[in-house]
Amino acid sequence: MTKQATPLIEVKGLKMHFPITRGFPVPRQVGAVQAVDDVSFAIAPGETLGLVGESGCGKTTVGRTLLRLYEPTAGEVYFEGQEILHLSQSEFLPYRRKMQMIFQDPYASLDPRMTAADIIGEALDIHNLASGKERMERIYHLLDLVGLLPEHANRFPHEFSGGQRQRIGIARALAVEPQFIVCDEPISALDVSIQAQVVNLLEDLQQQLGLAYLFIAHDLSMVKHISHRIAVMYLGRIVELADSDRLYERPMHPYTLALLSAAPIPDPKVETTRQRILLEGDPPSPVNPPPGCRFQNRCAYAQERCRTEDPKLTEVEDGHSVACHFPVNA
Amino acid sequence: MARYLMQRIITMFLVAFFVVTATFFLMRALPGGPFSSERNVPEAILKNLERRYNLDKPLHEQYLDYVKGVIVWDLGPSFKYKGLTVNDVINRGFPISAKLGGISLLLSIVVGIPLGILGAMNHNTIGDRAISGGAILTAAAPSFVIAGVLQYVFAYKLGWFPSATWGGGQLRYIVLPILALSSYNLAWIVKLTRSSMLEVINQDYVRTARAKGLRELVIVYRHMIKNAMVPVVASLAPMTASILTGSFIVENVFGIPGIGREFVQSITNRDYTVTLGMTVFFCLLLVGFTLIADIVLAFIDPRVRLEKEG
Ligand SMILES: Nc1ncnc2c1ncn2[C@@H]1O[C@H](COP(=O)(O)OP(=O)(O)O)[C@@H](O)[C@H]1O
Ligand code: SF4
Ligand SMILES: [Mg+2]
Repeated sequence: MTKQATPLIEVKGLKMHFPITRGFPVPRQVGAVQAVDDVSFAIAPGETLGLVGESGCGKTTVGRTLLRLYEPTAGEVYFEGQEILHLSQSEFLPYRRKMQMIFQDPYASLDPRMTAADIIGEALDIHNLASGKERMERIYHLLDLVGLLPEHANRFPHEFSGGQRQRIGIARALAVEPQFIVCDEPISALDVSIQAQVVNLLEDLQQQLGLAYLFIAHDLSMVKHISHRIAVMYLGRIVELADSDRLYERPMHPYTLALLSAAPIPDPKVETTRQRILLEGDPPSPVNPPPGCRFQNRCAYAQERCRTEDPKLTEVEDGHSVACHFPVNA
Repeated sequence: MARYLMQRIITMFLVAFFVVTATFFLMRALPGGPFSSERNVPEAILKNLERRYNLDKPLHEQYLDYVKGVIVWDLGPSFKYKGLTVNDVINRGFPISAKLGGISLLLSIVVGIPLGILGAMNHNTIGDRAISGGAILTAAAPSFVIAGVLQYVFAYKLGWFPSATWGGGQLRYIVLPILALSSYNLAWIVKLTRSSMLEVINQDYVRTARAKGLRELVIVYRHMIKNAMVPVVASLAPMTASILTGSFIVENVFGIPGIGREFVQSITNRDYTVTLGMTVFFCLLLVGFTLIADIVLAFIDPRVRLEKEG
């Protein structure tokens, strides 16, 4: 899958800066957490874009902002060519149906006072998708689709295991028949034995329903299998974006290399060719990102130019972009 | 649900029984008999008095008699008010205290919950800070200070309300006591509602609701407030307790003939049976409110309902 296909979702220059307020009794803004700073990418229909990076680099914020769960600082998001961030709430409602989210923590994402049927049914009600007997049938169908049983309908979230809850979360997202789902680390909180089941379920659903995913993970090994393309994020920016295989075979950004060397890859070809790079230190604070390249203080390849000049994400080969002055393997 | 209820009721009886027993023996362990303040009572008369009040029987018999009495709700005669039983003393003071306490509790809930929600929905604005600052100050002030300040400002200085008299319990007599009695609970509910709303606001299921496309008002009501109310309901019993202890002080300061003042007087009077009977009464009241809170909680929170059923 490459970018020749018409994008379903197109994100342009997305920025999400959370204001920091201090002062008593009247709070003032004293700064901002630059959680997402100028991020652009596109996702084709039926495609999975993996989004990886260390915890705190802004992955969740990207997902939430493009679903308008946050009010973005700047940027545009196009859904099938229609800009959606600046629509009014009522104009945006139909797009809510088309874009859904699956959350990382299956314990926190379901209202503890509602049964599985209520949780799924509420989504149907909002968009008037089904009522009466048909509504119940839809709910059973959705439960079946994610591998749950009809008798699960009247149970409360805490009566389910983590994996089952995540399935309810998926059924709930599917209820409104979306075309695109943000999967925010949907397997990180699950037992390793359950992780593969949920990933397989998501892949099956993609096949059946033609869904597009933004699949978020903090670890490259989790996204390799499911993603067509992968975007690597560092401190609010995308630093490298390429086809999944290409990224593993020929990583260019020093940060991607470091991530790869941290993750064991079950592929001997990759395993023998990749370089070992260890990440030292912590990423700088997103409140005060350094001038120049944001990765400079941890980068083994950094030179003078990196301290002053901010590298822009540029395409170095077909469908492979990197934000680095001195890309490796280029 | 039925099993959960049975469990709660059985526990309630056990607690009540334990309280009656403990109170009975603790009262007996206190130094000084009920008639020791009456000086120069001849030995024969003292014996007579003790026989009349069954104090000459062995302790375990007295205890059994007392438990039987509690079961049929006959708490025995008062030592100090000749011709009055403990039941009479409670019956005459309780309606007054219940009215004050009930209105206070209602006021704390009706004003406290919206204020807490308002604070949380406008988190970190100046309005929120005013609300939570006020709540912290109010909660920190003991009820006798609040009662005193209210008296001083509104009764003595401004003369808006009568001071330290009960009258017939008309509106102008009960305003200040109710304010004094509800201040702590009001502040407590504001703080609790606010912090529990703040917790809920950032829950993923609220985001889920938003992602579903639910209207903001419905999200606030259905997903936020309903979940945020769980800890508030759970604190119904401690709030009742604070109304009870508050009434000991407030009723004295305002000269209200309720059971709070009656209880304090019974202690100064060494009116054993009244003190004992009222302690039992207060405890049963508390246990009852705990049960009510547990039942309401089970209705609004399925986790409680099912966890306890196992
Ligand atoms: N609602 C918020 N308000 C303020 N700062 C936030 C908020 N959400 C996230 N952040 C900050 O933004 C940065 C990115 O967070 P997040 O998107 O959750 O990262 P990730 O999902 O990659 O772990 C972090 O520094 C985090 O502390
Ligand atoms: S721009 Fe410089 S500091 Fe940044 S990643 Fe490339 S080499 Fe390293
Ligand atoms: Mg995250």
